[in-house]
Amino acid sequence: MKCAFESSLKTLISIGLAFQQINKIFESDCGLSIVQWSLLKALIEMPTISPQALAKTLGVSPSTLTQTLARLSKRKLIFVCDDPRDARRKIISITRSGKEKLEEAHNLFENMFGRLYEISTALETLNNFLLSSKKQKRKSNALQIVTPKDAKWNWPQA
Amino acid sequence: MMYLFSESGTKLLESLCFTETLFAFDFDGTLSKIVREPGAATISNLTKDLISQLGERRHVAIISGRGLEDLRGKLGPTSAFLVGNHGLEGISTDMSRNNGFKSACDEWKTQLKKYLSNDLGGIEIEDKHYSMAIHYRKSRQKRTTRTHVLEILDKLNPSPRIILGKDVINLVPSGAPHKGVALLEIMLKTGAKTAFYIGDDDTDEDVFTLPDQRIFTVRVGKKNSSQAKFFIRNQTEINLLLKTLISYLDPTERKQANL
Repeated sequence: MKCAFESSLKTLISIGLAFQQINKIFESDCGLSIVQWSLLKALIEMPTISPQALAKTLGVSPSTLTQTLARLSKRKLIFVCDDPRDARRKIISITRSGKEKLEEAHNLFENMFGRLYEISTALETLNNFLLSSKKQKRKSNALQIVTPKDAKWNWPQA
Repeated sequence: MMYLFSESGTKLLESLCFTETLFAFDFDGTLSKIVREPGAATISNLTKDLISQLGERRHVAIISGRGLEDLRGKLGPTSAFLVGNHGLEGISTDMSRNNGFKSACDEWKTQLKKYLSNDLGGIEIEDKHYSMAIHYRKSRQKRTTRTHVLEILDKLNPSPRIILGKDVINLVPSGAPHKGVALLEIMLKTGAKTAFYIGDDDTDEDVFTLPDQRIFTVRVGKKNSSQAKFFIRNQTEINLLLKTLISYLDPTERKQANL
């Protein structure tokens, strides 16, 4: 007898695979991965942020962020410089090219993901599961599913 | 401190223009030059026009130590948020609270008249209703005068918060909101995600020291002890700053300005 959760798990796996494929298409079509897009989007709303604060906002570890930052910096989509008050710290900001790239990606993103609102309830359910699960508690800090209605970046608390 | 018009400074400044940033300015020594007679300070027509152009694109605030009416008189009609008395007047003014500040000022005034009655040489007391300023710009021995005034201020009851400025000593009621509080309140009111603030005085350190990454701080004149992150060399660079901001906010202006 087929259990109900098996179907849900299959759907979850399908979503994961679809995400990978979409990410590939997105990267080849507009030159930005979804992670890079989300980082640029966050930088637009939080210019002159520190890598630590950005990592906290995006829900990833600073080391995970380093590689993405290096790639975007090499392409001059972001700019990294020393904090004038504390040379040990860095400040990241988006460049005009980064902003233009983000605008270019916006239309493509809208066409691709405009209908994702339909599955926002499902994402919310998954998010609740991750947050409530004791076993997954640590992982949930690293993986936070941002549903479209919540897709707005906020400055982390100091 | 980093020079604002350095390569890094301008890139960071430009990135502020991509979002809803509140642009806030001090008045004396920032938008206007410091003059011998504080009452004679004026803002140039060009600066006023540039502020108005910036105000058409983003929220603008002018946060000054001057009394609000005085500040309004200096600026004329403007769409900018105006805050006077170091943050005490203009934003969510609580009259009962301000009445308390006013009575403290009245008491200081009476006491200062008594203590300073014999030696007012080069000293001017400016009563701004909710705060006071003791100017000693005209004094021949500024350092001695300042030390003397500070000794007298130590006797005042209720004791004020003392903020030193350029040839001026500001007396603000203890516990009163300051420029930093005013800036945060305007950010909340306008929904601004970030703020840019520029000032030249010690009273502006209340903004520079805010532990808030959303605030981009600039000082007029380099001073290593300041907590501001960036500086412009002097007040004459303010128009360049305003023109640069406008050009960043409007790409057509950017091409015309050849930036």
